[in-house]
Amino acid sequence: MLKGERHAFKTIVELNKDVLFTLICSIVKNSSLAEDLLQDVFIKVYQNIHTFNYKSNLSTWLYRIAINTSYNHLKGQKPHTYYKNETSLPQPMENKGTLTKMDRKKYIQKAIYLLKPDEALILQLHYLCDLKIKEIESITAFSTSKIKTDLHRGRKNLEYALKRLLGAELKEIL
Amino acid sequence: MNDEQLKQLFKEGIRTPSTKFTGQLMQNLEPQEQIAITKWHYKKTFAYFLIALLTSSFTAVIINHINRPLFIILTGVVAFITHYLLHMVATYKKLLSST
Repeated sequence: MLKGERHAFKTIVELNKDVLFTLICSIVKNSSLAEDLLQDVFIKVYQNIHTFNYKSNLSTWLYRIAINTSYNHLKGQKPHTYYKNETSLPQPMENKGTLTKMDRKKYIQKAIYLLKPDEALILQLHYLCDLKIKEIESITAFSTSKIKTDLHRGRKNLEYALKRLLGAELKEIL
Repeated sequence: MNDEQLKQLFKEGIRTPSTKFTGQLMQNLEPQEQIAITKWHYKKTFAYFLIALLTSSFTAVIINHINRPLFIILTGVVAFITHYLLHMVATYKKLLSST
């Protein structure tokens, strides 16, 4: 990869694109913008792979670049409107019944989408990327207390959003 | 929800970019590689041109059987051939890196 071999780079892209895309989506809350930012992330990676030192995991390095690129993009942008009360929440499911795999995925993604960017990001780094609080701290530069608070609030808000979206169907997801 | 349930939930909720994503990305990387090849190509061409010029000059001086117009034509021919040889090498290098 350090010699710029394209197939090695392609493997890195294939292995990491989904997780990085999910992380970027949780910050920018827009999938087409997230895809553009993910392109930028991988171009940066391609150009700067020689600066990667083997002190950390490659995935950790990729997360950091993705997060920095997303937050840099958000600087000076209009803040996203998050749900504040029940009225702004989407309607709960109308068709009660067995959820298909795609439906489950859709509702989970929607519930995560409703979280604040920092909360969604920290939850995903912790549960999806399997990172510990110290590792999240080094990647995001957030304080330990903020990470703990956002983890706690994020969990509660996610559960609340899922309950509102799915109602009794939530049991099927868990 | 416990930690295991949350892990499962987030794994299930993972998002995927469009199917064209990797192809587009690899296409976006092409121009950067081409710029690198072009720079390398012109630097080498210039270096080989200088070498060709010097070699021709020394040959002309040593042999002393050559007049000035012929010397200029010969230098031009050598530079031209060098240029195309390098172009071929650059293309071959690009082909190698893309496979």
